[in-house]
Amino acid sequence: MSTQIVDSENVIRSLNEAPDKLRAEIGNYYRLNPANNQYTLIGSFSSGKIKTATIEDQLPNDQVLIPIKKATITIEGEEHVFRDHVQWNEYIAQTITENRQFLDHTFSFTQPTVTNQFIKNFHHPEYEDNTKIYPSNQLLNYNLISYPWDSQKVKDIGYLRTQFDDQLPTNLVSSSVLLNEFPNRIANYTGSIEEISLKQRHIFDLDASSPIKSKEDFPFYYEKKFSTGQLLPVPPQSSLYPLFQYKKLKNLFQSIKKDLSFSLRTFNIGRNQAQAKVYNAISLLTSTSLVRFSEATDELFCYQKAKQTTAIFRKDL
Amino acid sequence: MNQLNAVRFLADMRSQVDQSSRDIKQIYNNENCESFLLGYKIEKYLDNSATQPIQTYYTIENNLIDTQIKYGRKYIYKTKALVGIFGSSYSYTNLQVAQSEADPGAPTSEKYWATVDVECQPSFQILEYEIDSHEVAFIDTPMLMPHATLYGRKDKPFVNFMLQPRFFTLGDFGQEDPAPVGILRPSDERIADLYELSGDLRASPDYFTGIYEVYRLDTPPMTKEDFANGFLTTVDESVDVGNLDKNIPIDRWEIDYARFTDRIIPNKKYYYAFRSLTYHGTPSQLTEPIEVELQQDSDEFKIVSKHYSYPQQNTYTYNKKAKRLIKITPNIERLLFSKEESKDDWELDEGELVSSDGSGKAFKIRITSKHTGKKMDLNITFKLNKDDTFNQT
Repeated sequence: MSTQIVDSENVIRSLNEAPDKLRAEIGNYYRLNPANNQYTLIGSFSSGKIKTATIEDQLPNDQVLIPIKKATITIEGEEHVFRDHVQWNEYIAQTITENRQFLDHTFSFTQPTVTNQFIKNFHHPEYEDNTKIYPSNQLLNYNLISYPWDSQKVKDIGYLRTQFDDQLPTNLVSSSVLLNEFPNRIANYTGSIEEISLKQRHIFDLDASSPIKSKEDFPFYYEKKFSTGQLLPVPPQSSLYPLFQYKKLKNLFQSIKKDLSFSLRTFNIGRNQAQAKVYNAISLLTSTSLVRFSEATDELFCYQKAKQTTAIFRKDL
Repeated sequence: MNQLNAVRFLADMRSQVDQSSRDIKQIYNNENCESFLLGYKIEKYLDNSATQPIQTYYTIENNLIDTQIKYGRKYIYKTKALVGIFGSSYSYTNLQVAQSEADPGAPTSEKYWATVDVECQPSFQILEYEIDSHEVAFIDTPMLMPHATLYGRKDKPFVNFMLQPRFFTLGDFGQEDPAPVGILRPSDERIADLYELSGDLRASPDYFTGIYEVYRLDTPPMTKEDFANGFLTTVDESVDVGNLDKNIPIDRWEIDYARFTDRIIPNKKYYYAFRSLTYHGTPSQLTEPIEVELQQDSDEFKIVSKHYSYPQQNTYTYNKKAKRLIKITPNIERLLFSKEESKDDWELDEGELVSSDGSGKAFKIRITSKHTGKKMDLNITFKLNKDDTFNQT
């Protein structure tokens, strides 16, 4: 069931609480109905001082990166309410605040449910003992081992490539060999051991792919399942489509990870309030990271690389 | 090529944002913004979530599998949904207000009017909010308590135990399973806490490798916890075979039971209990105690054993009726009704049996023993139950 999620500042109890009093007078805000904890759409915050209000659309401003929609609002006051124009001017000054940004992010969203389970497949004494010794991020990572596409760094770290593997495609190494040889593979890893931990601090799994290894090959695993289905493939009418079409999803996710300029904003979700981090997507998507992409030392990206960029370019030609 | 792609992407995104953005009428009508699920951010913490996460996953898939889990440590996973919202930001400019009735620039014929321009900009935001927090730990599954058999030899002052695993849970027969992790010693509590996080709470032989703990007391235990101070040793399912005197090297053989031999003082009772341990040391429940006595006579030893039950802590209430021990006779004035005018004209109300002048509501009667001098006080109050005879008058 979808839930209405409303900026907390836009849930009010009286006209005085409204951030934008003009909107409260001639438009709507949300009120939480105490009887059923549902949001009620009402226009009853009007004080009755405004007789009519008309909104006339103007030509949008297309000369900027993101077009701006414009309109002119004309309001007329009730004559019997105001003594003179001085009082009318005072009322307007209190009601309309110029040059202040009012935000509205009301949306309806079906919140995904998460099911968690820990599975014990079989007992592997040696590997289980090794987990007590090695840091979490150096242990075998199923997501990297089972990743089907050719990504040298993902394979190197996932399979803990050693100097003795040079003649062998790593994905031919079985899971049982990885488990049995784990401490030796760590000791003979081709890169630095610190790299294994550091690169796995932030893992971006941005491909819908069928794993090439079975999770049942591992002695234990923890699994999370989300009720909302897989996002891929994205239909062309989706808002997400340009991100996938131009392979900019990785840029966006990387920007979210890097962005320290997020703001904290309170939202009413059902009857509860929750604080959420808010990232300005327009700012993220118009930064230089949109063009230049390079993996940081603490990032590992699982996505198909060169092939798609070329394909899109050719298609568009 | 990257730059070209970026430009084309921006053009498409611009068009997308423009189509999805609302005008001021839609905002005033509280119409919903367009939104979409971008993916999930899963933060993984070790032991507690007060520090930085040790790992963060960003995924667009509908599941996540994590194999990077250390044995015996607690992990906390915080799942956050990343939601894209095409919200709105608007502001008012160019406010014009009627200053007088004869205003030449008035847009209407009304006396009081005002006009203002409003600009609506798309506010494309990525919202990150927590939808789930879950703790998990990997602890191996404990076994059921072991099965112990004992025997002796009449020529030696020993008691021998054979310990074997039990593979069936009571739950298989429709009865309640016992709590699988046996909490006895302080270190067991941490294991039990983590085991609660591991999910499946049934006992299982998957991680059992034939190790048993032996506990012994030489005084009768009052509760199971008394055995915490009686740990003796651990034994496993192997025996050393060989004889160095005969140049046969000692070799360790695996067998399907564990053997424990204890030399004890004859004619004294001992209390034994056992637990099975998994490979990583997760204990089972403690067995019921066995009381063992090695009886010695002129030429042989004999073992007497039985199951020992912990004494029940009973609470007793002792009653003794005093009807035949003491007789209290009231004074004659206490037997008269307070307002008795004649045989058929009297009144009796609550409290009047005790004191006719209303000075008190209870009698205190002190009984002193002639033999010991001990005193006992009886505080007596009366409750009046009126029957039909009261209403007849």
